[in-house]
Amino acid sequence: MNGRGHAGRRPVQVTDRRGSTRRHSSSTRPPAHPPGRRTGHAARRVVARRAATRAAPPVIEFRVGDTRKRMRFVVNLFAGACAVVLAYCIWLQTGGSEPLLQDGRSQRVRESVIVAQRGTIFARDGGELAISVPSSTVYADPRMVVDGPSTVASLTAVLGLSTTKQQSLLDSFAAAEKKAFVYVARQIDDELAAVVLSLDLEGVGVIEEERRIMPSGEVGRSVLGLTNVDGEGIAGLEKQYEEILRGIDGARMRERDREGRSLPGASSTTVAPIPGTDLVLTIDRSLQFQVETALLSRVEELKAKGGTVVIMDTATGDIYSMANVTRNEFDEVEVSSANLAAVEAFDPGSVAKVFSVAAVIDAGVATPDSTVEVPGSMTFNEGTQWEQEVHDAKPHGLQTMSLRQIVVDSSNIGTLLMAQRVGNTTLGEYLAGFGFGTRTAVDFPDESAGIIKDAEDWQGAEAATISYGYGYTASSLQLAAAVNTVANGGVYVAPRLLAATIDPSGTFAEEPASATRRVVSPESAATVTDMLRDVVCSGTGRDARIDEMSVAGKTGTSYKLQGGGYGDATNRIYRASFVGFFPAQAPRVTILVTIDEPDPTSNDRFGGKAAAPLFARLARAAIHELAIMPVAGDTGCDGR
Amino acid sequence: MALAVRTEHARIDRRGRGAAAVAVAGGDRLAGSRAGVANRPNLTVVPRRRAARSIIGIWVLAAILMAGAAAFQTQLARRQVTLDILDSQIRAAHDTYDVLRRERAELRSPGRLVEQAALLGMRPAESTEFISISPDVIAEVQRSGVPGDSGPDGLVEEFADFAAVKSQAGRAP
Repeated sequence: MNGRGHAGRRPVQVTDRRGSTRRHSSSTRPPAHPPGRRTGHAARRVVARRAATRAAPPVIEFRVGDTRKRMRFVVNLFAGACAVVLAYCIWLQTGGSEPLLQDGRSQRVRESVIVAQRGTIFARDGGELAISVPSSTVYADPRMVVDGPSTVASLTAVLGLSTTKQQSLLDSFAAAEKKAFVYVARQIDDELAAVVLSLDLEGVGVIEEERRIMPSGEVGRSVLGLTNVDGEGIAGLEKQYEEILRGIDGARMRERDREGRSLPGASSTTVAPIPGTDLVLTIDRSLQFQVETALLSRVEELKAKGGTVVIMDTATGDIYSMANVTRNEFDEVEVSSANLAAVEAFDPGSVAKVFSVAAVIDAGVATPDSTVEVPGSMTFNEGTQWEQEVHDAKPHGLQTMSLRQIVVDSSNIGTLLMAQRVGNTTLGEYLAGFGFGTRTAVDFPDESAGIIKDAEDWQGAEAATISYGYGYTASSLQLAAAVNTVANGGVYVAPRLLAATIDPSGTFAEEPASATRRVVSPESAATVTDMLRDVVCSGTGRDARIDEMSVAGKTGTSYKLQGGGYGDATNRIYRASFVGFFPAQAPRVTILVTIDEPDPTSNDRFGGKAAAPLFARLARAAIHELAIMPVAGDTGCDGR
Repeated sequence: MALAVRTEHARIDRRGRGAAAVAVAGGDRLAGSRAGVANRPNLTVVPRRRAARSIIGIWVLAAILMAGAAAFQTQLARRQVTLDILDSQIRAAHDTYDVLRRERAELRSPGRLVEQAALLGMRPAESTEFISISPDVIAEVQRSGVPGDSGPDGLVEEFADFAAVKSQAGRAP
């Protein structure tokens, strides 16, 4: 309805200049004078009338309208408004309620993540190697910080913040669009956090976080690996078992008042976290400590680059110790953060003669007393670009040597001549049986499988050198497990690091026993063991002897690859090694020691001098820690 | 129904008293007066006491309900506070447990043991000497029930306590 139009049709009262009043409708006004010329008097009168009309406009009086209609209109209007409000209320209570509910909830509901406690890593004796403990993290809310520079100065005085961190905080506090949360210092001691809180700095607070620590110091550091600041495994066993160690985070939702107290009767939802699974390793903490201490000392003595040690149980394959030591950029020897024993492969050198001789014995092509004419040197691929001369470490002329003597004196040429009787294919199968070219069952992160070609691909001198440990690579772990096969009566037992787990419900579950496979016959293994005893008693491994207990072992000194070759007498770099087991009659433990790059000018750069003495020292430690007793009648090297 | 009966009785009573008045006064004046009495409205008696009792009862009931609601809310708040305190105590106990575990592990660490042993004048053995034990002694020791080397059963036993605690406590929120 248009009010103006309605008013136009409404009767109006008009008073003319004569005072008379007449009524007419605006739509029915008297017609204008017909067009035409007026007389002078009449014209003057009209003009005067018009002037009078212009000077005094007519008074318009509005009549009182229909009250009932107006009331009805207002009531309808009010009812309509109420209906709209009612409809809106209904909508808010039904379909449109969720956003408002969320807004309301967000004002009073505090949701927090309950971080699941990361599983503990135990040594086999129950000692904790890695645990998560509560710690404090200082944070800041830049929106609440009043005086940025002063706050940073105060925090620096307590926490010793770096210059970079200080600048980062200042930038955060001064930013146009401020974040709601920035870390100031993570995983600090509770006492330090308490000092920060006592400063009562605006916008600075403390939250609880878990920190991964190794309470036993660096014991087993290279095996355990690392977690990042968020508690995620990034190396070693921490990475390998990340899935089961980390657990499942929980959540807590509570309605709280301004003071942080729970609202009585309000809803509260808590999803309990599931703690991580604990790992029980086969590592013996005490033995690991002694091994690392002794290896550090030995590497320092030999001015070597590093070294590795693997100690494993002969029958079960349990690894009691796996130590890695390296020289850092500051020329300091330290426990390595990398498990080089598993991830680094190298030419095994003379240690590999154990496998060639075992193959020869097991294939039945020779006995310890079988002899062969061994020249002082041999040349392969003569006249070609692949020409290579092979000679023994100890110069000699043409010499008749028995297989036993070949092993005891570690003759390269004698070994390759004997291995030729077996043939490449058979030797390759034996080497595969000993585990070369395949990652061990430990399945350590980035573990090396070593490199060994198929036997049919061995070319030129390669077929000869592989028999005495050049031309293929293996890790310390593979070598230890391979020699352990001989110690274990010819049965390969897969090494293992994980003995058991304790799941979130507290159930203790032992890991299944290691897989085994027969590689050589028990008789062959016994024969090789007997020859290896001679290596220790009268051969290159004499420094590995221990009192009142027989030891079987083999030395190894290999040249390291450099620039595509092994260098010459002036610039060779070495890897010295010794691997052995004891008591030889009934082996309990197999130990592998490698020393990486001992001083090349020293006479102690050879396996028998660099590694064998350390073997003897570690063997004594193992005897103490593992309570190993000599077999009845064992007199060590007496009588041999 | 009872109220109606009482009203009728009152009406009869009033009529009886009116007749007595007529007998005393007599004449037309009395007749007029009788007509006036007959025109009076019939008043009824309202059981006010019962109504008052009901109102008071309702008020008392409402007051009791309100007081009960207030008491219930107070109790609810008190228990919530108690729950919060227990919650924080559980968390504190967990933290203490973790700290104690760390301290125990540090105290048992080989490095510290070596350090302490060195302070006491002890040093690692450089040689090993095995002694022979007579079979009689071995048999005696075995009869005494001293546990042997830690085999698989020993491994389980070593972690039995820890597993038991974990199964009970886990990581409560």
